[in-house]
Amino acid sequence: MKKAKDRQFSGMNNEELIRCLRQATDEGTSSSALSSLREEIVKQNVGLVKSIAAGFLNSGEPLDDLVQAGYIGLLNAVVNFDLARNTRFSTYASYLIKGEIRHYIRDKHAMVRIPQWVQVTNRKVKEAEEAFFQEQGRPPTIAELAARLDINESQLVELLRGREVMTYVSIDQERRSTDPNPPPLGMEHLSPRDEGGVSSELRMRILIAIEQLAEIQQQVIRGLFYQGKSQAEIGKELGISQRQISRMKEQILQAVKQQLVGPYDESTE
Amino acid sequence: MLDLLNLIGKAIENLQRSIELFKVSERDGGLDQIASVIQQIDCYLERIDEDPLLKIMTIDRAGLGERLLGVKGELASIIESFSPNVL
Repeated sequence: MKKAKDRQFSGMNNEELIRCLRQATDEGTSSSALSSLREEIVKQNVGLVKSIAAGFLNSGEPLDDLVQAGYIGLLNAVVNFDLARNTRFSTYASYLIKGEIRHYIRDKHAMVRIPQWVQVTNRKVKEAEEAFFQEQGRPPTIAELAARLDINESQLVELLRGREVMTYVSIDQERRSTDPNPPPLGMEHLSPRDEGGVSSELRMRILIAIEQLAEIQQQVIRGLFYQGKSQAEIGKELGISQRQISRMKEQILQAVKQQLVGPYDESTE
Repeated sequence: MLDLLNLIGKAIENLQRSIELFKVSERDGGLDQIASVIQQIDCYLERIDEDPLLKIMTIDRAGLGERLLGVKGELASIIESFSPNVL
């Protein structure tokens, strides 16, 4: 039975296989059939993963480990590839495979503990790069990536160079292998401090702290209004009426509103 | 006693203010804003059981405490990076 299915898929190209996979998923096809499709896609791209992994052998990591990391990129590509875009699957997959291998090497070769803010920022840069590639079918320029991340170009260049010093693999070298005319990452683009005197690192670290607090805030608001106990249950626990609980929630909601939009000013009416 | 949402609202405001102060080279002012957030988090965690907000909702208090301590640790390391030994 499995062999019959394998024969059915053989001869299909990546895009056709992914189209089948999407249809099969939508139709609720059995998980074994979906696995066969995924296996076929992986089988067809083993050579691609191995050849890309071989390009990173100078990192000192064993080929098998690099290939394993590459497979993660391949599977991410299978899940996220958008058939509607005018990009070949192999182009998109290559980008993600390289990204995962670079990420793996960076983690293995980090000589010092990477601060949390750097890890978060690197993840954001990687996600933005991948999303851009998915949409445009090519890697972003420094200006495009900076615009997407809402930071200025010099800050982004600093981040990329920071990422570079944490690994033996030069991202510039890597960029050149895919783009003959990559945007320059020279020292002339580096500005250790912004015009006002606040360093990019400091600003990013504070912004990430703000982001973490905002995440907690959202969780609290969700918990308070959507996932909490019923007002009757809370009232019983606290020994107060449901009406009082309702009033407390209303007051909290008003306070949140005020934090978000500022105090209500009647004179502006 | 600050409730959690008030704590976060004030902390975010202080941190945004600190960025503004650093931008205009008011380093000490910026650091003061960060230090006040650390102090607020400490005060809150000491009296977390009194937070009326947490009494009317379901939330993992231990996890919440860890996340606030994580933010506090990060802010403390920013201040440490400005200590005379580091500069």
